Amino acid sequence: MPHIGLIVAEIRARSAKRAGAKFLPVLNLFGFNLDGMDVGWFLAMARLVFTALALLGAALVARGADDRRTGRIVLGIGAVGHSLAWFATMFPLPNVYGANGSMDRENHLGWANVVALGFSPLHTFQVKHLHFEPLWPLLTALASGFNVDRVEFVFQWAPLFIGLALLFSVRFAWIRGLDESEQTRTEAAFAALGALLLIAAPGDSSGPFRNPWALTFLLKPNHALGLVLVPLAALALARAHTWKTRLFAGFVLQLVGWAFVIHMGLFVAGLVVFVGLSWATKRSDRMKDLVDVGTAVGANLLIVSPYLAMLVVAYPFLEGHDALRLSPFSERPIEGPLRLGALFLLSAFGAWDTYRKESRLGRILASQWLGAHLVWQLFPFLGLLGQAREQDEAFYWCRFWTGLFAGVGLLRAALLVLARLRKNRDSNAARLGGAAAAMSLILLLPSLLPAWWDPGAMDQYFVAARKPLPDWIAEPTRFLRGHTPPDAVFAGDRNYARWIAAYGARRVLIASSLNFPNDHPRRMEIETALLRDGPRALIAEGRDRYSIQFVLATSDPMYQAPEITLDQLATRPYLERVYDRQFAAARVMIFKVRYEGDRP
Amino acid sequence: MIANDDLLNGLRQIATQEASIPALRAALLLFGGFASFAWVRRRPFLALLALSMGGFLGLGYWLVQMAAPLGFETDPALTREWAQAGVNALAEPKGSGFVFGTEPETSLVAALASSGMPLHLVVLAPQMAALLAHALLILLPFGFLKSHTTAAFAACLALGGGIWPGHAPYGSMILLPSAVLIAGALLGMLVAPAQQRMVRRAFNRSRLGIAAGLIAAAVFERALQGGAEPGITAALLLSGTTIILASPLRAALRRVFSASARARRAEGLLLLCVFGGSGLLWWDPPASVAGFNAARDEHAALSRPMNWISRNVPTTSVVLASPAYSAPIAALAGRRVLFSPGAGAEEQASLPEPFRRARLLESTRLGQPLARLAEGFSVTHLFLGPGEASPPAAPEPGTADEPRLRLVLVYQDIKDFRVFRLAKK
Repeated sequence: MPHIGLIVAEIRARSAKRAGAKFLPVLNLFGFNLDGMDVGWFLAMARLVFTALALLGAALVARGADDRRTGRIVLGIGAVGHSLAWFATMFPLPNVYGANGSMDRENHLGWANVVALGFSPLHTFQVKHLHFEPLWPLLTALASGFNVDRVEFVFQWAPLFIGLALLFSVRFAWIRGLDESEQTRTEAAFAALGALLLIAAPGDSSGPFRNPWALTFLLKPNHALGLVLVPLAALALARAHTWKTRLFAGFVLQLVGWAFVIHMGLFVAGLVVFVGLSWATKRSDRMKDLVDVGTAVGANLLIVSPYLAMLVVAYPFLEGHDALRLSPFSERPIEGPLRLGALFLLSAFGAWDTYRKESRLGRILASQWLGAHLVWQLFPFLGLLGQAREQDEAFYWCRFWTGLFAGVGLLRAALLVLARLRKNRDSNAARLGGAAAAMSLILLLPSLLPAWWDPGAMDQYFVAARKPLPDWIAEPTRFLRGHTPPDAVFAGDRNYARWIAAYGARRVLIASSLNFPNDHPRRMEIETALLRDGPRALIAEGRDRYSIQFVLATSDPMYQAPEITLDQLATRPYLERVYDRQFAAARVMIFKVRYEGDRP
Repeated sequence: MIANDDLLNGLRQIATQEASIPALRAALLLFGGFASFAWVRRRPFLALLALSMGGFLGLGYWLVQMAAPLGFETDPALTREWAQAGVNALAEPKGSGFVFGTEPETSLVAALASSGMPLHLVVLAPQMAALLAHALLILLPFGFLKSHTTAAFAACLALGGGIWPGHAPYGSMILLPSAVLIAGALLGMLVAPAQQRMVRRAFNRSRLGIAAGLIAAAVFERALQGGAEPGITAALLLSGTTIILASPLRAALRRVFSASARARRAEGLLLLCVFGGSGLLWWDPPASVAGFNAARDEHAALSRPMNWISRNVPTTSVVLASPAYSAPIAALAGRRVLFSPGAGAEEQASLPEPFRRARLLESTRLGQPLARLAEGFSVTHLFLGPGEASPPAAPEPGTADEPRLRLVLVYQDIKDFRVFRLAKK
């Protein structure tokens, strides 16, 4: 109930705060103060600037720029658009994108942290657990100069560079691999623009896979790295004609596998479609296609086989699961192709027209488009077996090829229409190309991501990362960084484990956010011994086998030992309390494990 | 009436089940497929009919789920509009603000309520606006395009949500129902000039330039507004551009595909893709329209005391309640209140005579409302919600110089909502 005294007191208190109170400034990772920032206005400015630049670009190419200049302008729009969307999303964040909300991102941060500390990139932050995607943590650690304090900055900047790399990779492959025509560079630029900025539609934020651009480039730039390598792998294969070049194609292909093994699998599926189409259409070079693809894929599998063996050893990925079942009446089959509406039709036209033009790279890329959509149609069947895993990645793969060919398809459709309309009139190729490029840019503009991207309303990870880390995570993990040795391994609260790795940069015995290592039964026995005052031999094995030095627990019951309280842990003779703090949400305690023979 | 309510509630129960969404989408896809087939078989109006029915089904599925005014208690501006509409419909004197002593809010729903439309129909304004927008998109091309087949083609594209995915107007239309009237009026004014040959020729000459201008304006507007759904202006501009581009699009397809049968097939496929991708098929207002989820809730617990107030409190009375209940009392019970819905102290302090209002509240809280102030503000009842302390049953004797009233409990329910009447001692 409003009371006049309270009303007056509240107004006075607010005035007093404005006048004299001092707050710690909230800084973003670029070092700028975010206090008082109007995020809505900032995001609107980024969209407006992109729209204005895209229209300016359209006006420039409409004046009859040649193919080279048009290509550069369109590519520039793509680069500026991606950069603006990245900047608009990252600048208002006081944390790494995905912090506070994405378990996946925090896992990645943890992996990169422990590699930056000098541990093997073949292992996750669960000590001695073989890694799923070892290339990315290694690259991140290299980029940070093996300085763990710089890892979060690498995470902040990586999406920008990976997106730009994708633009140039698609353009490079297209120009080098497709037959030279009057519009090759313009087409290459539209393919790159589409692959990067037509990958998502405004309604995606309410869909099950959310925004593919944000989830691929911002949240998982390691997966986007796979997309960067794919056009280069396609180019290497298109140019293969000797055993040496075929093996080289296999070498490039295995790089895709090390970056992101699912993209390698999907790319190989597209190559199967490529060979299948060659044989189905009885091409004269069908045997060459088969030998080239067979050799490259074989070489790739040979090189990447240690990794595949690691996967089989470390992950139970062939076990079916109820969560991976799909209803036979699910709308998944139409979701991949139809959510992009008319852009899907344009991409189909672009892929068909590219295939029809007979260039080998064109046929490989167009087959990837078809392969992506065919793989997507397999999911309802996989869902019946409880094996519909990684649907999101297959969806983004579909979107990548759909976006790429939508850009090309619209340009070619515009060229075709304008050529027919101007049949008896001016047929200057540069003017025709310029007009078609301008028309395509304007028609694509409402669908280009930087023109509508509003992370405040469309991106839960942005919203989560805008908030500071909860104090009961931020403070203890800061303590870990400053007061525990870099090789320390933590047992205890499995839910807290990923924050130990992501923000504290330390390894753990078991984390609930990762798959169980194959030796998890033994780890659990050692963990139980540590928490429940078990046999000393088991506790000692924890030191000898897993280098466990600390136990971290909170007042939230532990999943594996809900009855064990913090006070009980504090009475264990081998646990020495080194940190104890009560926060509003939870109490956090850190214990040093004292082994027999340790110095007091 | 009861049978209708039962039917509506039954439909709501079906529609709010998650499992019915794939069924809806399958049905919409069937409509799209049938329309595409009809188009290829040279039945443009059958195609339009199928897509119109599909569109009404897709819209109806979501609109029927709205049991409470959209934006009420979730959007401050819309909350005030609904509060004003309730008071305009049920309280006396007309023409005053829903907070005693303030100016009335102006909005479409408030105007409809003032015009004498029953409140239970006024709350359907967002739904009616969306359906009208749908009808407008079907009919509009026929007012502007000479060829009826092209008009049908344009209408099919537009009601699917337009050429550009994710820019359909339905979300913004239900949030701003008055836009459909403004858009309808503006477009109605353009229909007559559009029939003149000179205007038509001039338009045809600059059609692509106009389309480019509209696209640019729409993108700028969306860039400025932001949000998960496009603003109403952007959505309508892009719908208009879709209609403008329908004729050149058909001409282009005829140029590219020399045989008209192939061109028709391409058109049919385009209709299917646009309807399957752009708008209603994937529309998910609980995720993209602010306040939609709250509008699915009937406020059942609150409706009992509000109904009681509506039936038993005089229409000229002002109800004293905490700001949290100001909007429900005004919107659902149709009675004016003493405090603004906002909880902020500045907002209450900006009302006329804030100290006298606060003094009346304080004296009422102590069980001894000041008669002079209660009469001055026309306050006759006190409303308390769960957790709010009742005034003391035996208040301490007040000073003799100020006449006081007493509080008589006249309503209490299981949720602990209470209404007291301010009665003379």
